[in-house]
Amino acid sequence: MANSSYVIMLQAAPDDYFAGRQALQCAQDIVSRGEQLKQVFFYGPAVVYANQFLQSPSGYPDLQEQWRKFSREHNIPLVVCATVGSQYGLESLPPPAGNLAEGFSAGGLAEFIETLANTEHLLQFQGNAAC
Amino acid sequence: MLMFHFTKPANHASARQGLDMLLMAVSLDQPCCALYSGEALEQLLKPLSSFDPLKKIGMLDAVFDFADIYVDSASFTAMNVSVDNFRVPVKVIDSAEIDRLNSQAKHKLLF
Repeated sequence: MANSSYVIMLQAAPDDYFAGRQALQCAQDIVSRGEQLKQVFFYGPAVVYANQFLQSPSGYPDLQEQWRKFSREHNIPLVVCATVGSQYGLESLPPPAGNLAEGFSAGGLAEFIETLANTEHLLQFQGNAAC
Repeated sequence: MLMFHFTKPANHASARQGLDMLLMAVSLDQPCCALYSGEALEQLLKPLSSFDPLKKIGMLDAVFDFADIYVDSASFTAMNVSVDNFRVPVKVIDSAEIDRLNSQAKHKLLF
């Protein structure tokens, strides 16, 4: 059986918990169905997910860690847009040279577009801030 | 075909980020189209000051000869502007044409 392929683009900032949770749940569902999730791309305000200094608000689950755990367990790349990241204070190198959180990689729009062009489905999560 | 649908006003960060992605896709020779509707028509207007975060929109036409820029006719009428007010050549299309674009798109990216 041919598996469908997916890319997720998350644009909601980490403080938009419900958008982030929805995207993560969707990613988990794709994998649990045995379908291919090629990449989770963090764009716009979502680039902040890749900041190692990110802290969840009190009482909220740590979505950054949950994304990392998901990526580790299923070998799904978590790619953050380096250009937009720099506009949000993200230095796209691991510490001590930068503040890129473990489990994330910095990529470019070219990489994302090329992946997207070879993928069947795009799922976009904008959240409240971007809507 | 990648369909970029812009719906946000010109001062929204999403407008700039969507434009950056569209420019990259066009530069990679990906088949694309750009649709502007609602407040996003502001993005196409010629700037009134030197502060122009969307200056690169001119590259679509000037650098890449990208001609697939569409404007929703209902939004166009509501805005009460002329195509001469826009900084790039556009095609004003109705809902049937928008449906046709939607049906041809492999991926739709909303900004």
